[in-house]
Amino acid sequence: MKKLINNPKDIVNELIDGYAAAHSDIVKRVEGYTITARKDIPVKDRVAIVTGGGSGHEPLFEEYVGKGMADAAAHGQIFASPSSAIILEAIKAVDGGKGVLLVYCNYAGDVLNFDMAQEMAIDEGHRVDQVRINDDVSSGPKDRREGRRGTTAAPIILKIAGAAAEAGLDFDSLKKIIQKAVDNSRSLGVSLSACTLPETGLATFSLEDGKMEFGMGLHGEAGIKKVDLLSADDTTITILDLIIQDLPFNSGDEVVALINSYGSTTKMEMYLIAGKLHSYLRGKQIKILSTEIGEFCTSQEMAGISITLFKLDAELKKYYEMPCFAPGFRK
Amino acid sequence: MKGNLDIKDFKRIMQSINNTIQDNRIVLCQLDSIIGDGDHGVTMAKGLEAAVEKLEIDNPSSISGLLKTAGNAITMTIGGVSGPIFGTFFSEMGKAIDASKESVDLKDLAAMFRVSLEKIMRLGGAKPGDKTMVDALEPAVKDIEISSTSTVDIKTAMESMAKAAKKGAESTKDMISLKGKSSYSGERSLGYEDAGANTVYFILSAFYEAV
Repeated sequence: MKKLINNPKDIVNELIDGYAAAHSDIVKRVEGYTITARKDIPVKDRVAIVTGGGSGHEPLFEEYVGKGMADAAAHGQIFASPSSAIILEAIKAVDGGKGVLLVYCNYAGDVLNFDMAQEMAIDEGHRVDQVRINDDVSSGPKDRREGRRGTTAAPIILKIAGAAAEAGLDFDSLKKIIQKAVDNSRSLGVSLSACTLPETGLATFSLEDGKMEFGMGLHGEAGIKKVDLLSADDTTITILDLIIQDLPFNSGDEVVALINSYGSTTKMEMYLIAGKLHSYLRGKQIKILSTEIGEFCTSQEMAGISITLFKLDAELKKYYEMPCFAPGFRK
Repeated sequence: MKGNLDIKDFKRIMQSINNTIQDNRIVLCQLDSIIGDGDHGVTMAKGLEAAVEKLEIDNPSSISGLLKTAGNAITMTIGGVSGPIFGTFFSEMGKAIDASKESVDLKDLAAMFRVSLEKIMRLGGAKPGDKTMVDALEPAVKDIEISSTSTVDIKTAMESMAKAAKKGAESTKDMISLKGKSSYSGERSLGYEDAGANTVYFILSAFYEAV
């Protein structure tokens, strides 16, 4: 797979510098670290939000930094969680005196490093706690949701977290509402081809022609069910059925629907999916407040999509509709 | 026939470990790509390179300091799961001995490895049988503990330890992964060795070669 890169070892550094240059009106790089942040950190008089995880999923996490979303993001190497040292630095950079909430996706590496950073920050006198995102229905049973992976609900969760933080919620209330947002999110993806790591050129997985795989992770790790390629409509229905019964989403619910490309799936395909999604949810009397379509959490050039449904209540809807100014999400 | 290792030995051992990991980075990536996300070799290579660079800069004067410096460099540099786990592997060995200790014998080594293994199991939550690096390290540590009750020299003990790690790594083939990214593969992780377990083998065999 041909990619436009320079020295593979410098990818993360260069990508962060490029991103900071492109969006220098809103964000900056924290000098010497693979951390992107709002230009105006530390923001005083409110709890700060730190997110982060492996690189290679752009626009996740860089583009979800800004007013109304995260204060800063700590970035690891491609598909690897950032080290605790980087996360700790991000915590120190954003803490305006009201503490920091870490909001990140549930993966073994991220948990290890964010936990370590949280401990170190608390030792240094910061108030820190965390909420893990675990929206992926394919990676664990319903009764053990805390083991599930965090995937494409991330931008929605960060939007809610950022809006509520901006509105001045206190530490405990903020943590509660972020957890509620996580609890109200369900996602599932399907992959049509694996991706390649820029450093090695190796494909992370192999998928035969004519096959698709449900439950692929964001890192090209193998999924749980491989089937013959379905139509766009059948794919959409399969995913929605699994998501709907998992929460469950009921008739009368209002949702945000997010359709995410993993990297090489076209808008053309996603609009076909959007059409079926709309008619299918209408048939179930599930109202859609807004449909977000695009690249949110990619896996290099993996082909495939994921769908996230986010159930709104009055409180979550209020925060979802608040303005935000992040490169990946402007409202 | 060496009965003790001093700081010069450990410097040489770290270089040997770094060289071996660099040489095997693609092999480790390939193992990791079948049931993981394919970056393990590259990650470990980056970590070990950072470790030897930091040792060059800081030039620690004690074995304890050397191992802690190497371990911290790995943890700080590579993140992921490998960073904390393999960083802890070295730094816990360093914490197990006093900074004033100028040489370690086989009994000391066995104790250091044991402390390191216990901490890794607590940190990552993996038990033997979960298909992780613990499945290579645990039998390896048991092996050196047995050696330490005899009169063998360190090189012989390390050769045996590395062999035990290799067997442990090979045994992961028949396990279903319960930890990390490969755990999402479920039963499809059967039939493939764990990359981290192989890294343990490479580290220990490089250790043996450098003694």
